[in-house]
Amino acid sequence: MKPFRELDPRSKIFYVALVSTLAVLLNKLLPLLILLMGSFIILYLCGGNGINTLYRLRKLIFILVGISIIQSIFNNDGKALIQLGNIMILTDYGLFRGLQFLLRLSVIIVSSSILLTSTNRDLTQGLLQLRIPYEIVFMLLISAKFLPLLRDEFKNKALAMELTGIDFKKVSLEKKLTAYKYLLLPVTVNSLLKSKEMAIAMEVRGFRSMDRRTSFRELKLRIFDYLFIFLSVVLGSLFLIFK
Amino acid sequence: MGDDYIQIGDISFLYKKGKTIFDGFSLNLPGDKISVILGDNGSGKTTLTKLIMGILKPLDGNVFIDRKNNRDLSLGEVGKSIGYLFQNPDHQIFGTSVLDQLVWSNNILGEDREYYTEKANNLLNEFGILDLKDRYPFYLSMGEKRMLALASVMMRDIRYLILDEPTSSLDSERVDILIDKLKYLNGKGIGALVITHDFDFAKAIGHRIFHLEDGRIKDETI
Repeated sequence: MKPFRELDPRSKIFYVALVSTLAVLLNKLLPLLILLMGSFIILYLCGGNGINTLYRLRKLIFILVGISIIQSIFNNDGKALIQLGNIMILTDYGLFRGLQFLLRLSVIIVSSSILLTSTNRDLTQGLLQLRIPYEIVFMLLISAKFLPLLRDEFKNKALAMELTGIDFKKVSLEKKLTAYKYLLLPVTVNSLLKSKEMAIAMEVRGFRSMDRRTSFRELKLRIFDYLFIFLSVVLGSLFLIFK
Repeated sequence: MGDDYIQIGDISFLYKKGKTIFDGFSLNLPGDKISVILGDNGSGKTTLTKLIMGILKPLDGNVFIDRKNNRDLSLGEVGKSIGYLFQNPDHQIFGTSVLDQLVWSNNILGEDREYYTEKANNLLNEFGILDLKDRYPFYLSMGEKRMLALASVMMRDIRYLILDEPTSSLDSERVDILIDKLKYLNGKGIGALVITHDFDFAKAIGHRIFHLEDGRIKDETI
């Protein structure tokens, strides 16, 4: 679907903001599920990898289980589904709250993934044309690039730590925790040092040397963008009216 | 199986969405010799070391370390007998001071503090970085970090060493220290596989020098 693939980043930002707000306001499971499905479809039409996103969401299952149990134990509402003596381990209300949280989080994650279908350059330009200060936009852009690097550094360090001969499967939890302390410090320090180097590199390239920054390429909203925003508003309002 | 400490048998490997790095590659590395691999960038040198260590798994074929298939060994178990020096020493620096970098793992494992502190001081002295022992390792130069990473690898009683580009960012004085150290360790029966671009360094230490090209051994100098 070419029009979706060429959607202006500002239209996507609007959609993400609208859907994320709705995800917080809506309480029932069905509307949240519809929002999630809708976001998946739009992600797919925009050229995003919905299956990959779905695969990553599998990790949220633990949150569902955790929240369901916590809500069931500490909130006495609902009918007990699993009970141990007087303690209700799982209630229908607890399960409902767990599912609600899972769906909310999934809607926010899936809709945010739509932004990743735009290039960094387009996204930056879109935010700038929304009158967000360049410093803040640049900061967002850098953090988006920085996170995968940070993840890789953690992975490499954890690997190197195992290769020192510490068999993590065999050492006690206390020793494991001490080892993780040794993992956190260098990653934090290296990140700070990298940020410092990056700041110097930016200054050298003349970052903020001029008061006003101009762009060679400016984004323009097309008819399809207006239509997309209009339909999002209509559907969003319907959700709120019939919630 | 002879005296070959590492046996690479018919391995194939490719990165996801990438070109084939190895296709039926075999190589035996004796446990008491220093083997050197020379090769251009992208020829598969670092990938080979990662396959030996078990960081990467071959699609086909097996790597045996001391007659044990490395698929059956955890990284910790491989690390106990083989010391690995990463191309980027930053990956293996954890300590809050240079001395701490050498003793942190012994500290965690609850070993004899007096023994390992003395060993660490001796190693720092041998590698010419004893005067830096109270410094933060993060602020050292790349060459100093490399020497520190190597010294910390030596803290364990390893049987074999794998060094990935050990001479990059080292000055000639430190390259000489490294050559002496490798020869000294080899005299004690510790073998090594060294990946390098530096032909003079390769000639100075290598019993066998292999030239790797496109995932194949092009020639070997003994």
